Order: sequence, then structure tokens, then C-alpha cells
Amino acid sequence: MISEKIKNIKPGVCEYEIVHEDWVFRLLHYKGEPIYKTPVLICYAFINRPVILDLHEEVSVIKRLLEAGLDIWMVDWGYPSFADRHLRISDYIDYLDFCVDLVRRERKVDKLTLHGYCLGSTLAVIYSALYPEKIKNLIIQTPPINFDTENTLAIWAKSIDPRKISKALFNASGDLLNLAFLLVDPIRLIVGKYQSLINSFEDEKSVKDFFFMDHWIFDSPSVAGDVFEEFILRWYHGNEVMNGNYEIEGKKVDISKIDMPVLVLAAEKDHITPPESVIPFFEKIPSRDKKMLLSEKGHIGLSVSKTSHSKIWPEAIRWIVERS
Amino acid sequence: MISQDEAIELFKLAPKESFELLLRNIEIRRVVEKLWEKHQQGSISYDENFEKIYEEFSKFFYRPIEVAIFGIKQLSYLFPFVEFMKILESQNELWDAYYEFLGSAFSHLRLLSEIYFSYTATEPVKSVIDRFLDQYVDSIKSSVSEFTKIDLMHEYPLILPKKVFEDFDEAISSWRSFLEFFRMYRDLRKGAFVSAAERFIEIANNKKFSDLLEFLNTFSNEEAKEFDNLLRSEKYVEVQKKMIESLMDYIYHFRKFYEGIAENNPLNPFATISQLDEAFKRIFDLRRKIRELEKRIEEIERGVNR
Repeated sequence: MISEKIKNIKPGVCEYEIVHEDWVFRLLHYKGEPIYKTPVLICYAFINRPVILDLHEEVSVIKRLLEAGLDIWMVDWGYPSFADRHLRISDYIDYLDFCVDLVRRERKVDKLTLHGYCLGSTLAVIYSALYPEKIKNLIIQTPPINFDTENTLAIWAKSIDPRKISKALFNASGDLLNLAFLLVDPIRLIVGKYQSLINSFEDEKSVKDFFFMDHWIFDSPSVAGDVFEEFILRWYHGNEVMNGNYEIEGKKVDISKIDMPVLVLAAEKDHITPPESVIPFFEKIPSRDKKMLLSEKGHIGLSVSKTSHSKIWPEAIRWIVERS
Repeated sequence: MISQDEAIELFKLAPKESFELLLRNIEIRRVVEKLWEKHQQGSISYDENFEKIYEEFSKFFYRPIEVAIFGIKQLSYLFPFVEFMKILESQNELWDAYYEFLGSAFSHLRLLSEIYFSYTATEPVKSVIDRFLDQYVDSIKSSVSEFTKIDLMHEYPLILPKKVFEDFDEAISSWRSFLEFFRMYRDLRKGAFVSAAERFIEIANNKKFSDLLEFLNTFSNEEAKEFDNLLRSEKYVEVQKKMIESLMDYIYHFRKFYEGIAENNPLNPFATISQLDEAFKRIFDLRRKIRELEKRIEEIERGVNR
């Protein structure tokens, strides 16, 4: 019975403690035995949940990082509710700065490694441009920095008026965002994927893997209304980070200040943030120690596929360890 | 594939969306199996089986529209519309008559029993509390009936500010616009589905597939290619944009209409969601000022000058 196979599915394997909470935001510290001095702070996206980096034993990126002797911290942006509708991107940067300072103080270091995931990469890039003195290494995974791309999701994002959505719904709900992500590739995601599940009903492992992933996919927080407006209008419509006209609280975000070592993790078949979302940025930054690792998988496969765990992550971790 | 009992267990364990999509795909598989049988017996054509696949495939995506329609149904019972008011008034009169009838019947029985008791027993002794409660309930009943005797409720459109009705008009016109674009959107998607299905039929009728999976995968691939092209097309993007915008306008103006009614009811004890939203905005503005001050104090303590 299929229900028997999925009885105990709960994404997330590594233990952590909540170091700080600030309304909806949290700073987590993963339990481990670090041997390297430089802490790694993961700045997750404000869409979906960070547990994709720790989905289950076999494909946990967090577990790999901990086993490599790294000290792992995570900013969790939580589940914004109606009461959080007026959060702004500057609030996210402000909390990121708070966390960076807290970790630096706690570990008595001047700089740390900042690892951004998807839209968390955009935040990480903005932060690194504003406070380069606090960042030793910058890692950006499936990063949307250049929003002037031709993938379907970008075409749609550039066509909508987010103000109408936030005026009507207050926040962009997780259900709405999920629907958009599924509509981008409806046959493969709605029919193909589930037909494959039907084909492998007897295979317990495949069924489990499928539901681990679906638990993550459909556990979708809302995006605060003001944040939704800002990232669609200023990032997608205006491509302001790349164009150099983005500012936070009056401070200009200048990517020419990103001169620390930079590691880019991108995915060839990524239909959400294709490699073009980062290549112009990668070419433009002055950093002399920069590297791009390209997975043959898609946006999520980069975190959870066995191929990525055998090819990309060992190399990525080596890069981080050498600079920690 | 999944028994009735197991479906209930699965609904409890799986994400709601996964559950729905799995059941829809089990149905799709059944239909594809029928098509596969037909293919093995000779040839296939565009028939009700393809329509069924399209229906199962599409339903999930039309959920926001169902939510919007469901929302209006719920709200229409909470707020009085003009057409409902007259029905409510008639119902009210009926209830009043029925209430009076029951009251009379009750009084009649009470009088009878009092007469009977005066012959057969002494009057039951009531406590001070019971007597007070009887008296209080009687006084409330008489004042409530005074309130409900107002007969002008169906003229309430003249009581509310004009903005309320402007929002109503905007909501109706946005809904009409939404329906127009939704039909275009639905036709574009259906057109893509049918066109890919016809291409698949042509392939299927000129080829023998090794098994059901090859048959199914070929069908899925043809559909996926067609949708890849459609979803990026200028026409689709434009229709989708207008459909979303008019749906959002409809939701916004309908909500404002209801809020207008609520805000103009002096007895309404609740804040509207827009009033709460404004309060949250002010809280966030204050919070940012506090954070700025905290940072400044930290800097002063560390001896940093601006």
C-alpha cells in the first residue's frame, strides 16, 4: 500500500537550535563538530522552505557540509502572514546583517562565508555589495541576479503587475506561487511526474523520494505583499541589481564591490533561474578568485540529485573548505 | 490502483495537492489504457477520452477561479443584498406571525395551567434570582421587538456612501472582463491540447508502439512541446496578464464593497481587513524607526561618530 510507504516522511534530518527569533525570521545553527574557523551562513530564498538543502539522509547538502567540518548557520525567513504584509526587502537585508554580526561575534571572526540559495542569492549579492568587509567568501546557488532572461517564468514575471496582486490578496500566497511554478511546465509537472509515480508504485524508495519532494514543494510560505511588489518590479521589470540602480535605504548596491572569492553553482536545465541569470554577473564582478560549477540537472536537482551529490557538491565543498 | 480505504489514508498523509494530482493521474491512466486498447485494435481518433484527459489535466489550474466564486457565495450570506432584503423581510414577517402564534398558544396554556393549579395546588415559590431573570428577559424581549419593527431596510442603498456602490460596479465590470479573458485563456489552452492530441493521433495511427508506456510518453511529449510554445507566445502572455489583473481587480473591489458596508454600519464591532492592514503598516514603520535608534545607540556606545 502506498500510504504505508509514506507514513513517516518528514523532510529534514540534521538537528539545529534556534539561536534567534525576530517575529517571522529565525537564525538557526546546525549541530556539528566544526574544524574550520570560518562559519558558513546560508541565506535561503523567501520562496519555499530551506529544508530542500536537508531533504533526507541521502541527499542532504547540510549533512555533507557538516561532515566536512564546516560550521553551518541558516537564516530562515519563515511563513509571513497577513500581519507581515509590509515587510520590505530592506528588512530582509537588515536581519541578514544582524545575523552576520551575531555569528561574527559568536565565533570571534571578522568575516564569514555567505551562501545564498535562489532568491536568497540575490539577497546575498546585495548584502555582499553593501558590506564586502564582512564577507570572506560568497557562494550563490541557482542565483537570479540578471533578471533579463527569456525563460517562461521570467517572461511571465515581467508581464504581470504585482501591485494588483498585493492590493487584492495582500500577500502572494504559497498556493498562488505554486500554481505559477506548475503552470510554467504543466504537462511534465502535472502529468509526466505523476505518471512516473504510478509506474513505480511498487518501488518503495521511489515512492518515498517522490513524497519527500512533494512535501517540500507544497510547503510554500506566502511572500509578503510589499516584498513581492518590490522584487517583481525592481528585479524582474527593472533588472536594477545588474543595472546598478538598486539601492537599499539610500545605499547604492554596487556589484563592482564584490571582490571576495565567489563560487557560483548553476544548473543547465534550470527553468526557473537558467545559467543566463548569473553569467553576466559572473563576468562583471571584479573578484579574481571566482569559479562556476554547472550541474547537468535542474533548479532543484542541483540540491537533491545523486549526480549533483557525486559530482558538484564534493567539488563545491572542497572549494569552501580551502577558503575556510 | 488505490482502494477507497487507502485513498482516505493517503489524503491524511500526503500533501493535499499531491493527493489530488495523483488521483487525477490515476484517472488519466485509465483513459490512456482505453486509448491503448483502441490503438491495438486498429486506429484512434479525437474522442471523449481525450476530452476526459483534458478535463482532469485542467481542473487543478482553475482552482483560483473556484476560490473566487466560492468566496462570493460565502459572503453573500453574510451581507445583505437588495434582492435578499425583501426575502428576508417576508421571512421576518412570517417568523413574527409564527412567533405571535406560539406566544398566544403558550399564554393560553399557561393561563389554563394557572387556573388548574389554583384549584389543585399552591403557587410554586420562585427564588429572588428566578424572578429577576424572568423580569429581565421580558424587558429585553419587548425592546428587541421594538427594534425589529423597522420596515425600511430594503432602502439601505440610500444609506451607504456612493463609494460602496462604485466599488460594486468596478467589481462587476472586472468580473465581466475576467470572464472574457478567462474564456480566451481557456480556448488557447484547449486549442494547444487538441492540436498536440491530433498530432499524436497521426503518429499513433502510423506506428505500432511497443508498450503502453511508450504510447503514453509519446502523447505527453507532443503535449509538452505544444505547451512550451504556447506558454511563451505573445498572445498567451497578454491574455494571461489581463485575466490575472481583472481577477485581482474583481477581488479587490468586491472586498472594498463589503468593507464599505461594514465600515458604515455604526453597530459593526469589527475592524475591516484594510483597517488592520493600515495598522500593520504603521507598526512596521515604527519598528524600523526603533531599529534605527537601536543601531544609533550601539554606534554611540562603540564611540562611532556619524
